[in-house]
Amino acid sequence: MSTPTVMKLGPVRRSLVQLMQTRCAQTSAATAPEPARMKKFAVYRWDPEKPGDKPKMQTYEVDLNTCGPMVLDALIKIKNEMDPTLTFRRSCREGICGSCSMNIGGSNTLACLCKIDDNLGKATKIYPLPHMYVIKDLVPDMSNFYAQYRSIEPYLKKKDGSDKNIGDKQYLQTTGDRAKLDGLYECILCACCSTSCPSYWWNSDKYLGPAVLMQAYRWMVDSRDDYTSERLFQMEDRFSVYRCHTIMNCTKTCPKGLNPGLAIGEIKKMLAKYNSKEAKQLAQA
Amino acid sequence: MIRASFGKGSALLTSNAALLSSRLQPVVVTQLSHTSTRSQTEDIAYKEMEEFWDKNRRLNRPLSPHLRIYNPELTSMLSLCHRATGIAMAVTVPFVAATLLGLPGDFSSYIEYIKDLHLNPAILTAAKYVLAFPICYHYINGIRHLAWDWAIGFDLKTTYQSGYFVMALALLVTAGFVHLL
Repeated sequence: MSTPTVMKLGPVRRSLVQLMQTRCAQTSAATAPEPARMKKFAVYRWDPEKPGDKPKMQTYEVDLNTCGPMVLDALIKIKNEMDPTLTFRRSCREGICGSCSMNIGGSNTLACLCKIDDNLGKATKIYPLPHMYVIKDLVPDMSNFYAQYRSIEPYLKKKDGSDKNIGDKQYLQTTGDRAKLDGLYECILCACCSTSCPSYWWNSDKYLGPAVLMQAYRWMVDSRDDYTSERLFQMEDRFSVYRCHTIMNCTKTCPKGLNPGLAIGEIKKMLAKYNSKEAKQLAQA
Repeated sequence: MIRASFGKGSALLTSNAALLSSRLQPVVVTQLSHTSTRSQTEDIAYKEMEEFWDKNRRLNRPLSPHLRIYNPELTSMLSLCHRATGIAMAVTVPFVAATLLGLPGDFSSYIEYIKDLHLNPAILTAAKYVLAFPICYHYINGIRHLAWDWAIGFDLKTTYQSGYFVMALALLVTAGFVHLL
């Protein structure tokens, strides 16, 4: 880069110009076009607005070189550039909101945390969460799941009437008691676990499912909550807890690495040990 | 908490078999064990559940695929095997026992009969494997289930390790029964 024009500059300016020229040359060399890496995505589609429409699979091809690494990136790219009618839930794109839960490659997970499989020979299959009523494309009806969560009363309940003076004092808890909540409170209610459970598939009306049961356990085991016996007594029937046959699909599929199967096992242990007669009296008092 | 009463409001059905398909959405009659003290929150929750089933039936929405698309995991496959071997044994053992009770002669004459058929030894060995495997697998996996009942071994790593171990041990013991006894 030592053209006559450049050589006329003072030494500092010359070296600066030469540096800029070298860097521009490097950048232009780096952005030379790479061969496109086309990956197929087979996505479940169903449109309620089309009369007589049947659910079917639609295949899209995405160039992985111009797409982010996660399946959600691919879905957004498809929606933006190829098919705006593709419908799915999404929000945080970082695995904390639980919106984009779906069945990818046969397992339930969050699309924003699921890396696209680099194998270009195989299509990635994307389905909505299994055995759920489909509102449209990849969007399931979650109302039943939320209603079941509501039914376990997932909030602190005290017996000493202190809710009249809520906020006056902290409810103290030892570090040991707080540690009992680790692995339980992190649940983002994405429903991946419940919809991976065959027992929940067959009995989603009466069996609560791993997600809701883990949250029930979270409140049972919270030292600040006074209604442990009553919460356990609520589970005294054939279906709410006891449809769990320890299949353990839930723990396998949890995208946050939590263990609902363990929580349910602990509930069953507590149900065996607690004083149910006392709880019945308390509940009917 | 909830017992479902089927369509005609007849006897409360509590058998599992009848409730196999969740498409048979029954009229959910909420007969709670603690009806008198059911909180407002629970009332709202059960009302929402009823509305959910009504709405989805009315709109005729499709159910997303489940069995045909879900990955066969070690967890679900071993559980299925446990159930299948359990049912197989629960059906065949009483049936065979009852049949032998009714048929003439005792079981040794039937063993003689099978010997006289002069079957290919490979077929006999295969049959022995088929007979021995359910009891070995179900028994050993049963111990794993008992551990789970005490909430032992629930973390995913242990679940997988114990799963592989149980399957390997069951096959080993089956082979032992077939070839050594």
